[in-house]
Amino acid sequence: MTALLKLSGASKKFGGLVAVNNVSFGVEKGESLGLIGPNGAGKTTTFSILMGEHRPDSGSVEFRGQTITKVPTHRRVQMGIARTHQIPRPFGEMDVFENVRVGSMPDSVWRLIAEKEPERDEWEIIKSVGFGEREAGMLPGQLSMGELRKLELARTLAAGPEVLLLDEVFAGLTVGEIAQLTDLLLERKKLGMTYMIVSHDLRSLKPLVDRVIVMSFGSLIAEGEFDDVMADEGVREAYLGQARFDE
Amino acid sequence: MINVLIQGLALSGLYALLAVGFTMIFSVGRVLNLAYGVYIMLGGYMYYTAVQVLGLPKIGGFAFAIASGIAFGVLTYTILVRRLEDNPVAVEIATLILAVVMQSLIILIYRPVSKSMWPVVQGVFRYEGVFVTYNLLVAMVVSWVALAGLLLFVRYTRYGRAIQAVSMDRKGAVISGIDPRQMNLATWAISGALGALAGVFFATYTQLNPSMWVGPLIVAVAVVVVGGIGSIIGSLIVAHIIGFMETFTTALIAAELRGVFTMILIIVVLVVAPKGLFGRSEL
Amino acid sequence: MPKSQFHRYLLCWLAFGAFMCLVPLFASTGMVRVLIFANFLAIFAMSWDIISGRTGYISFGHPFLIGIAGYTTAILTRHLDAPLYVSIPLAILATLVGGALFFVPALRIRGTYFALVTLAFMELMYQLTQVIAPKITGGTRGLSGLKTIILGAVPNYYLSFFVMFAIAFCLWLIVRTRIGSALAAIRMDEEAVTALGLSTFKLKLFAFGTSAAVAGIGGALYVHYIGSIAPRALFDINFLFTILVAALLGGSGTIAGPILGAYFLTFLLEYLRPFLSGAERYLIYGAITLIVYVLEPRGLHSILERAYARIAPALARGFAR
Repeated sequence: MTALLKLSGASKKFGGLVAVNNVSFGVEKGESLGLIGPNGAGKTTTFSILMGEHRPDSGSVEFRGQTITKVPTHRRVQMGIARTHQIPRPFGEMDVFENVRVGSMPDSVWRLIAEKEPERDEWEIIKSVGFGEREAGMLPGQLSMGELRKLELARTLAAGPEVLLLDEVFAGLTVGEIAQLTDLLLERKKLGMTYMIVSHDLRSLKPLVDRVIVMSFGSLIAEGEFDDVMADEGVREAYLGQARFDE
Repeated sequence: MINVLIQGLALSGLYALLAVGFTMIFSVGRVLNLAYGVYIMLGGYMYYTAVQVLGLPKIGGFAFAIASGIAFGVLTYTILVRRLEDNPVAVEIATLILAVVMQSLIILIYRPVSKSMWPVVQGVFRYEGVFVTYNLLVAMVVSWVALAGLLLFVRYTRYGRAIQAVSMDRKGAVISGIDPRQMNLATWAISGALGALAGVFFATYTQLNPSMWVGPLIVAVAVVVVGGIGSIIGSLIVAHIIGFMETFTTALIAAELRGVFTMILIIVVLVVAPKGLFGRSEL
Repeated sequence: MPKSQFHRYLLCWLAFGAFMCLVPLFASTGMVRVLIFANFLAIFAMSWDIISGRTGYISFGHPFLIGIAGYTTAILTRHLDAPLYVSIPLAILATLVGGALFFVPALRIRGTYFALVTLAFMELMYQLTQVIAPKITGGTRGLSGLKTIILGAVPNYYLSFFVMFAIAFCLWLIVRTRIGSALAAIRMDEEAVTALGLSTFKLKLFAFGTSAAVAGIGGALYVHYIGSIAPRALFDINFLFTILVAALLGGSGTIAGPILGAYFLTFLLEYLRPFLSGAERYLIYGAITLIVYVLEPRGLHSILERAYARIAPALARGFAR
């Protein structure tokens, strides 16, 4: 089976720092891939390369067998790849509903002006992440960190992605919120959503992912099933003093 | 030809002094102070008032000009900029409005006519076809001395290094116990002083009039845009590029086109290389 | 937006339009002339606001756009004796094309630098019109004795008001659709908009095009109203200042704001005329704007809106009783 989204031999340098070093991997359709590694391993940069926010110095990105290395970010989103940000970036002066509505907008000035907006989809998404009517009218400044993450997720889902790149979705969330989010993501997975998830919270990550890859200092150091990777000597070493996963 | 070179060198020295106060605020506070031209205008008018109206000695004129520059710099920061600090765009708009307000105030007090200033130093230097006014030469020397002083202050005094620290990494400076607001205030004061000092010479080089703040502001903007931030040396280089460009245009093409190339330089650099020629963080 | 709210706003627009139509019946000719200037200023301020107030790309070069339109129609009518119904549309077209040539590359530049570049456009234009082809542009003195569209204060009032009103109403209809939110989203976080699959370039281009078209209409009609054009009156920081102040004081990011600001400024000027004449008024304009801007960056519009929100329930209770 060929990968839906594939990174081949990608490298990216910032000045003298090699953020991503010759990294290759692929995500299959309907698969859920975890991307883990200590701070500064290059996970977020990898996301940025997949999204086209950074051009790799070398290597290529493929989506559905098509090379998209030079495709601009907004086009990639239209093709079906979207990401959430580690630090949520809501539109501060818009309420939750309006934020989600921007996510569902078509990329056509004419359609934005002339079409009557179908509000039903937005409501569905807002409800699916656990917001009610009251929250929909709230401004981002009134929301908790957990709610901001839900808003970020809802807004990104509204863009209609096929592959969703989630950057640290669990950070700052309560146990209850993590459980709720996990259910939501798993439900979407059943409907065919493909995920790539970056997380430091390995315990929460485990039930969500089919496979994990591990990065350290910009390089891919391990790949495989969650438990196998965790048993790996190199991975343990990379993580030593970082996070610990004991069960 | 040598004449043009010497003139260019002298003018560039003055421009370096004109621009450095503007660059300082940008590198420390990350905001563009479009009211900076007003400090220059204020310097000119205050010197004029002290020396040509009140009949004070020249040194008193300088003191008066610099004191008002400092006062106005401090006021701009405390009354206006501090309140809008986290928003560079708001500061840009507000300082432009402030500049026009000050321009009107000058018109109100001094009438809208141009006034010519006596040169700070009389006479013209003549030698084998080279002739430059002593005034411009003195301006250049004062510029160099002021810039050297600034460089020494920033590099070798505790206070100067604290200012530099804020410009490099605001959060880091806070962690080291530096109050960025205080450093900003000091920067605005220094900037006002430098602007006013440069203004005295600029006014003697051109004329005193209520719209004289626009030209030097554009030179300062060009220096920041082309030279990038944080480097006094970088500003110096660009000030010389612009100074020579203007002198050559005046001598070889037409005096009216003097400013055109500065404007084109700003446009081209920003459009072609938005990140700046010497690297610049996005704002 | 709920239906009822839409109808309420529509009613406000109609009431405003009807009231302004009646003004010449009771106002003096002097007052009518003042209002003509207010209408033109409102057009310019709305033009500025559609790009700068909405998307946050602050243009310091709007006099440049207005100037392209003004000079195009002035030159066409003066030198080629073109009729106004040809020269004015051509002027608007020239504003779009000429403006795009400069502004579109500049739209890549974010934040404070965009403002600087557009300021440089204006100053460049000021210097160039004086030096290049002074025979055609009239050099420093500009061109005067231009054709007028109609004569008399009252007809000109109606013309300027209807154009202003039509522009305002069209803009209002446009920004109430989703595009209004999309443009505002660019102001708040442009990268986040890109990350949601929207081409911010396309959106900015639309905002610029609309802004330039409005500036073109306003600029072309304005020179034919005052009958002359000169570089210092047009490519001037004071002119830019007046546009900016009208939009900011009234409330940027709204349609009613710039109109409110333009009327407020023009009336302020009228009342100040006995005390302060000439350039000194900028002192008062600027001081008031700075105070309002520091206290409430969204301007008078927002202050009035909040006042209304506070008063409205009390009024409703009063009526209920």
